[in-house]
Amino acid sequence: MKCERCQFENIPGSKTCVKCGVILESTGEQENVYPPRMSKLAAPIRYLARLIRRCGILSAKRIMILSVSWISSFLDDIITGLVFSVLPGFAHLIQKRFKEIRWLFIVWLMLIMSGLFLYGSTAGVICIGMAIGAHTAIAIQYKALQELESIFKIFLLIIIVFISLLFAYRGISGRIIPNLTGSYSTLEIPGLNMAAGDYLLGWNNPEDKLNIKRGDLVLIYPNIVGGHNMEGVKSRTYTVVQIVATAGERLEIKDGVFIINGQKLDPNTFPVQQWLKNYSYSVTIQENSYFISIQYNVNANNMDLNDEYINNVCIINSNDIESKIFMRWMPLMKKGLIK
Amino acid sequence: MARFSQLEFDETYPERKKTLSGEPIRDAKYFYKEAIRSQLAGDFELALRNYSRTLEKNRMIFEAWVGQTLMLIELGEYKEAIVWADKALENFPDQSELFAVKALAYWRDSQPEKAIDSSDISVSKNNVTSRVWLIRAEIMFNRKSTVAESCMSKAISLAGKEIGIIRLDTGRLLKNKKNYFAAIEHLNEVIRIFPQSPLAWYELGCCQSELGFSQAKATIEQSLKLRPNWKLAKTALSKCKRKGFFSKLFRR
Repeated sequence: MKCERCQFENIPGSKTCVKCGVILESTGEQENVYPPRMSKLAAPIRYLARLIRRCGILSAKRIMILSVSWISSFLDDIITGLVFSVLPGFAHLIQKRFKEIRWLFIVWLMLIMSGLFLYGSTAGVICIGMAIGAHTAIAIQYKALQELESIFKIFLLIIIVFISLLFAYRGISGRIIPNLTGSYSTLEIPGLNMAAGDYLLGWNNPEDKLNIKRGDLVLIYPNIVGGHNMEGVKSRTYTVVQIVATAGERLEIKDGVFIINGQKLDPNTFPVQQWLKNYSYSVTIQENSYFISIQYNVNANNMDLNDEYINNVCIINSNDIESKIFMRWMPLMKKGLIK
Repeated sequence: MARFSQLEFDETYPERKKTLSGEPIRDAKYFYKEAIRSQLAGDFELALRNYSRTLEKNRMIFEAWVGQTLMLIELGEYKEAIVWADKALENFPDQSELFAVKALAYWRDSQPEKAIDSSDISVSKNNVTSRVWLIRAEIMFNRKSTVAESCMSKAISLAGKEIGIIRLDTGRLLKNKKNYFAAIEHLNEVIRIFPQSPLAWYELGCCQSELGFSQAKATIEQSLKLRPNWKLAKTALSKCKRKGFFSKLFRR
């Protein structure tokens, strides 16, 4: 068995060369002779880690050395990967290791697409949760799994990464399409085939706000009127409401039906909500204002219903409109544009 | 393959004159020579590539594995250097030089405990080379300077045909430790051996500049003449030109 390096003839079956010590067994595969390279983006983080390590070396306190070295190795080995993995697979891609996580990436992609398609339903929430899980797995796989020896540390890191990604997804979704908003409907409108719990999408376009008509569905932050505060405070969650009357119109509620300028509206398309059905009410809508149909829980505030109460809840200013509903996203069977 | 045995370094880097016999055969030997040439020119990226090409032709050239690891260290890619030294050790498990370069990578990456461990292993092997002692010297420099000096002496005495590059690295080490006079001594010797090495001229120029010697400018210009458009040398030259009379005086 001839040594490739020194040409020494070794005994057949020898594992190493007697003369130079080189391993004689050949794997038969083409060995990679190009070393791995550091990404340019990792250089400053590595420099920082080195600097921290150096400070640790210079420190007189042993405990300081231990903590510093732990932080620096964490920075050096794990943080870089986690930071670049904000885009799933990016850290692997720049290190040419994408092949390692290609299946995870495909799973993530499928889950995120399913999650978006089913957004607004329980299945959608589960899909997006699983996509974040897959994303976490991609980020952790890059370095942390190899570097962290203790299961507790890995578990802790998984939780931290998962929660961080949860916030990142929430933040990013608002940044990518800032004008898009969505909310579950609380209204039941038989004429529009709309039931409570339908997930609706709204688009925040200033021009649309100028062209609000009767029958339009809009998203607002409603007034919560209660206690001694008749003016109300703004709710922090979007609510879907229906525009019933516009500026200058005379609105009446009589026998559970909306009457505009003396003409009855179709109760199928403009149903009076349960809390207003037994109340007689009339108002003339002021400039830049609208009367809305909104689902409201009067009993929760322990108040008697009166005109002022209804005015504060149901009459909104045009500036209060956040966006106009254009599409029903959920349930799947009813998915489509709202005209 | 004996290192630097047939090294021709008589052209301006990176140009090569065409020989009458035509293009040279691009075998392992050719790429190895090119790698050394790039290394002496301070072009570590190209040197790394040429070492890799050498291994593509013949993966049993141990010196090319060491060269690759050293180039990764020069490029500041210490983690990768450690990975690569480990890979080389799979093929050459008893080579002291591979343990030494791994120790150097650990040292430069500010992991002294691991560096000392690897360096201890390297010197405990049978075939201790001059490179091993030189790396040992770097690791010991801040702790025990007398030990470091004796390590450097051993490295130079064991260097044999590699004396040029060992002296160059000794000079660079001393320069980094701000021992400019001793560094100049070694670098002058390197220039005698490799008069066409831009790196040697550059390092010498930097040492002279630090000491406020007037010939620093000419020395760095010489390195730029040998390797035109070398950014590092250009920066050093402009820095050298900016130095005023008093800074030169007080440095001296």
